[in-house]
Amino acid sequence: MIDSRWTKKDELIDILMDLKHDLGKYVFLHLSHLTTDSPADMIEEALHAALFETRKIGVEHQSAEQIWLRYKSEIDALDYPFGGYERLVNAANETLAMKRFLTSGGESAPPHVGQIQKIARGISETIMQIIEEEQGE
Amino acid sequence: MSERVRLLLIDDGDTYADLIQTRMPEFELVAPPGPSPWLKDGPSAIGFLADNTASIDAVLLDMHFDIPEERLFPLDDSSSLRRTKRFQGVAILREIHERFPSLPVVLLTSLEDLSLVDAATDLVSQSMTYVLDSNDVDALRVRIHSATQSNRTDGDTRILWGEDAQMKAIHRRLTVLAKGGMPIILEGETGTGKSYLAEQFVHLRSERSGPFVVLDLSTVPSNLVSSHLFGAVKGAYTGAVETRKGVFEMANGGTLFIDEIQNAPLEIQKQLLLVLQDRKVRPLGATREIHVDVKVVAASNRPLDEAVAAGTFRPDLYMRLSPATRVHIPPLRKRIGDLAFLAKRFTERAFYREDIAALCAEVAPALGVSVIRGLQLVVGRERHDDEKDTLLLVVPKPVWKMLESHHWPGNIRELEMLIYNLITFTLVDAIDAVRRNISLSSNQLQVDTGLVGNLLQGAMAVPLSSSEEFSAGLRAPNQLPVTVHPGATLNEVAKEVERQYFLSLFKRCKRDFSEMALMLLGDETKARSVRLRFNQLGLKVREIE
Repeated sequence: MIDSRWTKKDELIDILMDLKHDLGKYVFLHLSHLTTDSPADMIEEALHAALFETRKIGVEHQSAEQIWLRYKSEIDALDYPFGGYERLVNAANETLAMKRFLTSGGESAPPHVGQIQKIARGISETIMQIIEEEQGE
Repeated sequence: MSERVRLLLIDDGDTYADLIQTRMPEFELVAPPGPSPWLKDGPSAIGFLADNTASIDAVLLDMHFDIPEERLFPLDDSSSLRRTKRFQGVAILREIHERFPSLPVVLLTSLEDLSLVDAATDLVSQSMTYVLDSNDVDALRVRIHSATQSNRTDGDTRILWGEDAQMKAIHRRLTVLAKGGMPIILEGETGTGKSYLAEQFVHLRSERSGPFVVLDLSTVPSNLVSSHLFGAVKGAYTGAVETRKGVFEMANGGTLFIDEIQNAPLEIQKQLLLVLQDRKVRPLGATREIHVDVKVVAASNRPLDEAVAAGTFRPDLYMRLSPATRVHIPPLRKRIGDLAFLAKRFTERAFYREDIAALCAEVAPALGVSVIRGLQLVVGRERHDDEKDTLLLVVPKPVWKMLESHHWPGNIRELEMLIYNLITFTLVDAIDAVRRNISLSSNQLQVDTGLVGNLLQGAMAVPLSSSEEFSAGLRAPNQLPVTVHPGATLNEVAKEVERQYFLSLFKRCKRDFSEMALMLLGDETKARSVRLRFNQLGLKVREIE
């Protein structure tokens, strides 16, 4: 008989899916039009939007950090240990750390587009990987 | 159609709207007047689409909607609120497929994300649904182009579908049948759009690279059918002065539309059967067979099973064409609920004809505008449009009822011609008025009742020479022949038409005014009114045999 009870694992997968949508999808979307030829100010503008206006709903702007902290607190509150937790936190931190590429962030040379797109893609890939691991167990 | 691709965006957030507006100038977001050029939930989007499908090239639909529960469409019975929000796009997509099956929808999500949900993958594998290869701007641009391109190439058939449930079912069925190599049988009265659907829908969706070729068997002499179908080498028969390719060979790799297949001579039917079975044709007089890969769409204006029963169509060919692929296109009178949809679309389409555009250009100065930008048909005084550069063709409600009760023997083709004539004559009248210094009070041009009556009668007018003609070839009780002669005024002509109609109906109803009242007014107790009108028209019972 199939166990149809809603488990903490199901809850975790649900939260991860939402995180992938709200954080992974939108951070990358803001950066996806950039090419290696894009001028520095365009890169700066896109990166700023990706990190600080990650989701725009009317006048409300949600930053990547706000989104991450909201979901992290949900995951922590779930009290369900899972193997990918550390990888997830690292990927999220790496995403948020892209602010170092902004002029105000301290680095003087403009970032390489390929590098920031790779980092931005990384959070989605990590989440997807963890979801598949959890679903496979 | 405007140059820019018109999109309806359904998204709870602003990010996609910003992206499209700043990075994709080739696209235009269409939405009701308001602060945002997009819609934020399913119910408002479905409501907007109900009136605006024709002006939208594609829908962009987000998947995750973080909106109040009361604005969500249910996903399924067991879904949590969180899940319903996350896959709200699937629920909205289901509604769009159901109500507007020919409208392309681009889902603003990637296949990877959808792979997490079985139900979603099933749904998005349906026709007219496009999913992004990845969540990036280029993937979005590519998908919008492919969705709208596909809809523009078969897009003209959107005009045929309407909202009728039968047509929606046919749309779904033809979408499936178009793919693969199976033949299709299209049945339906003349003018229902069979050849149009074959070319603009089946062929374009068949994903075949070869050409679309037509053979209308009602126009080919029986002794030449074989050479038209299969080809002939020079000298194969008297008159074959040069080698001729048959339509099967011409359509190789593509689609062959055989119209009026029920007219194929029996001996040809046997040959057709062999070609369909073996996928080879041998032109007349040729020594070698040619392999052909052709999707056959066979059309008939009467049910082929009746032709089989009557012995005029081979049962084995019928079975080979496969009755399971039979699609019956209903006559217009059986989908009369679509009349307004079709009439409005034909009006909009007529605006792009050169002759209509020229007439509109003559009307424009009288409205104080330099150019007319659109033409719309409205029923009754249903709207007041302040945009003077759009001409409104107002059909009074009684006239509309007349159209609804018409039998439409020529179906959609007849409707399109009627609308075209209606527009032409109404514009000509408006121009005449302007020339006589009668100013146009507004951009609303009322359609003349008599004109519609004339056009409807004219469409089926046959000379009335004897009473025997009442029963000859006339199917509907309200379809009666009249003969139209030029008159000094339209009123005079209309009166004569009405007189003839009353006379015909009087005979058809066996001199029973109650029955006439039932047919004309839907109320048999109004016989007295009919009798009065009868007399006003100068008709006298005692003088009619």
